[in-house]
Order: sequence, then C-alpha cells, then structure tokens
Amino acid sequence: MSARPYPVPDPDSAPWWEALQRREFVLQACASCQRLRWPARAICNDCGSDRWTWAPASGRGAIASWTVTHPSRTAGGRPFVVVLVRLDDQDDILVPGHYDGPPDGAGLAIGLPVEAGFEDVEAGDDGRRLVLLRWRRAAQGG
Amino acid sequence: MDIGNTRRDAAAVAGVGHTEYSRNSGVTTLTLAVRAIQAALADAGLSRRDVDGVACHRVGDSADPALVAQTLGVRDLRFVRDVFGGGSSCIAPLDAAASAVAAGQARCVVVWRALNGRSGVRMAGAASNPALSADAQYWLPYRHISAPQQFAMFARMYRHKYGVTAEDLGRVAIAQRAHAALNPRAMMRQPITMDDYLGSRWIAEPLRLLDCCLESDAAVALVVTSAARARDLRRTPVTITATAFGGGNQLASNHHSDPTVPGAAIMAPRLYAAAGLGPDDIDLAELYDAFTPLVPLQLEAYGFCEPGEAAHMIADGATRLGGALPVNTHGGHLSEGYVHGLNHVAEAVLQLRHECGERQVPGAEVALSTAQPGVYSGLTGAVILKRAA
Repeated sequence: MSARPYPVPDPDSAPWWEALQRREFVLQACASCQRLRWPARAICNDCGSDRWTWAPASGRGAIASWTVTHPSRTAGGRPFVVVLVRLDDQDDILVPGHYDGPPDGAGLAIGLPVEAGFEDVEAGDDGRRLVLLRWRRAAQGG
Repeated sequence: MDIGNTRRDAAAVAGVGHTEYSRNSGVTTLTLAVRAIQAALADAGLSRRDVDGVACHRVGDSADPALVAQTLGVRDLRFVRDVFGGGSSCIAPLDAAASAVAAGQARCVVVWRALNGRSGVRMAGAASNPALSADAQYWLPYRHISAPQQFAMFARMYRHKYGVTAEDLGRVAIAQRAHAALNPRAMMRQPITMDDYLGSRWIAEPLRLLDCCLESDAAVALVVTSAARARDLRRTPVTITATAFGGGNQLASNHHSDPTVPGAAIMAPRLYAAAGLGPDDIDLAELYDAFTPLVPLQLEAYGFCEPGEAAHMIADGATRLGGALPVNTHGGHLSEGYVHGLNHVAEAVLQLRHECGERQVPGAEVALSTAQPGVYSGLTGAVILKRAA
C-alpha cells in the first residue's frame, strides 16, 4: 500500500484529533443527558442537545473484532492487524486502532481485555508525524 | 390502509436489458447505460420514444441521468431520480419509478445501473466507498477503508456470534458458482470446490478472495410502467408488489454497535406487510452479496430461518437450485458479475418470466431482491416481485 493517509478532520472531530496528538484519548459527554458519544458529533443522537464536554476515556475495553489485511504482492505491503475495541466506558462505542502484537493477529480473541496506548507514525505524502491509537493487552487485573 | 400498501402491484417491470459483462468495456458509462436501456426497451416491445422518466443510482462513477435522457432523445422528461448511493441504495431507483408510475407522474420510467467497476472506479479501491464517508477519517490512517476490510471486521463478529465456520461461508460461494455455471451471462462459470475456496488467498482475514464479489464493467436496465399497460406489452409482466426501506444504524455510531443485527432485520416485517405476503410465499431470493457473510445474515433478517440458523439452512442445500429457497440463481455478485444490486432484480424478473433455462426455478411466482442489508451504511431496501396472473 502507498503512504498512510493523513486524516481530514471536520469541525466536529478536530478537537478529538488534537487531543490524540497530545496522547489523550477523549470522548464527548452530552451536557444534557450525560451519554458518551464517539465519533464526534455536534448534536446528541439521543436527546438532541448541542452542548457537550470532552471527557477523558478510561482507555479500557475489550476486543470486538479484528482484521488481518493482506495487501497484494504488487502493492509490496506486509500483512497488518487492525482491531475494533468495545469501550468499558460505554459498551455501545467501538473504536478502531492498531494492536501491539504480531502482524498475523496471533493471541487476539473477541472479548480480550485491552487498554489504549499511542504510537507516533509517519503519514501523508510529506511525511508528517501523526499520533494514532495502539491498543495493547490489558495488564493483569487491569 | 397502511401507507406501504397503496401501490401494491400497481407498477410492473415490463422489460430487462443487460450489456455484456467485462473487465474492460472500452466505452463510457453513458454508452453502457444507453445500451442496456435500449435492450430493455426492445425486450418490452417499446421504443426510446416511449420513455418519459429516468432513475439510477451511482457513487460519482456513472453518467448523469440528464445526459442519459438526452442521449435517449427524451423531449419532455417527466420524472428524474438520481440516487447517490451504492449497494444499500440499489432498490431506491426502482422504488421511485414504481411510485412515479403509480402516481401518474410518468408512464414509462427506465431504471439502470451502469459502471466500469473494474476498468474505471473500482469499488474495492481505498476512498471510493461512500458507505463510511462520514467516519472514514477515523479509519483511513490505519489503512483500513476498503470494502473487503470493512466487511471482514463485520464477518468476524457475525461468525463469532453464531459459530459460523469458514466452510459455512465456502458453501455460499460454491453454491453460487454452481448456479453461475448454468448462466451464460456469468463472468465466472468454472465450478469450485471447498479446497478451492479454503485455498484462495486472504484479502482481509477472515475474508478470502472467494468470499468477495467480482468487479465488472456492465450495465443493467429495467423498464417500469403500469401493470395495466404491461399486460399489453411483449413479455409476461412482473409486478412490483412492494418495496421498503430501512436503516438508521451504523457500526461506527454509538447506540448501534452490533452489525449482526442489520437494518434489514428491522425493515423486513414492514416489507412483508406491504406485500401482504410472508417468507413462506417467496419462491426465490436474490440477496445482495458483496461478500459471502451477507447471504446467511439476510436469510435470518428476512425471516427464512431463525437468527443463527442460516449456516445450517445453507448446509442442508435449501438455498441451491432445487432447494426450498434458491438464492442468487444467477450466481450473484460473487459469480455472475457486479452490477451493484440491479443484476439481482433483473434475474428475479427473468425467473418470474420463466426464461432462465437450465437454472429456472420451476413455477416461480414470487421473488425477493434485496439491497446491501445496512451493515455500516445504515440504509437498506428490498423489493418483492410477482409474476402477473
């Protein structure tokens, strides 16, 4: 595959990406009904309120699914894992990310407890730095 | 009267047209569209002068319907529907045409999908899939945006929930290839075995190459007119008994984090109510099959079996020709070709006209044809068609 695309934030998501660049994983909390939400939206899809705060996420969750992408040989890429994590903070929020583990996904299982970590990668054609989520197996008792 | 019932069987599909299926058509999508439309009009026994409405769906990859109408020589265009959307929206143009005809807005609406899906804009390509456009930014930096990757994420969840095995999905691909072997139009007609399936290369685990649809350059068109008028035309009319839409759920949105319960499951009872029919009345089903797991998912969503039972239904042979509910009798997107849902509707019509030769479902009277069931996209649709008495 070619260069890792740089994300194109919108007015709803820009603060989330900015927080991630500071190695902070945050969620929106509706100021009216208190429900957490992600991806970022300006309006709560539960109560309709347009007031919210950004709240730190616990960073804990469980593997909901994962894929092992096999780029074609012509693309010259190596297999890589992307996981989808169901958050402990609110179990209807699913967040993707990389996984701190082998590129064939060995050891992954649905329900496996994980915690959020961060990684600094190169992205875009101009090689800018970008902080992304990199989930890792949760510490025992974590 | 329920709003869904008011135009039951009022409109009909009077003609069907296909272009050749290829990997490189060498012509524009405008040419493909007009060729398929002309074939459909000829099939109906109508001419381009009869057309007064146009409807299609596209994702920025196909000719403008106004240009198609102009190329058809339509002088006074009375109805246009240009749907932005992919597989999830593929029933929308037909639904709109049926309503327009039933309401008297137009007398003869041509419905089509035309794409150079292999030589032009490829659906499997990174940024071409509109389904996740709102939330694509969260996936792009992980290089996880193509349709096979997205549906692989769903496939693992579905397999885990119900204990569905690789072999269960393999049986979907094998059955559809067997159907395609009986279909002269199909791009892939060589039968496949379980070893072929299990040995096909990974695209995005848990999906293999043979779990994935083809990419095709092709167009399919339908002629929609009133049921009364269709009776006087060349072919056995097939009436549009009911259409329905559903959705609102999306994997990447909170409040819906289980894609194994798709919009189709919520919509199906409404569709059957609008048709005045139930799953037992359906003689064959053409189920949107961009990837194999969507077939068992929809068998469950449309009530042909209980949730979690579809793999058993498939293993028992129920979905093969000769079974209780033949599915994707043309080979589907996996083996006939990828005309983004509309080739499924065309096959349903031809089956109900009893024109399918070796792959004909004997005595077929009622068929279901579906859109992508709403996984990720949050939208789906379906049509129930009936052979006119």
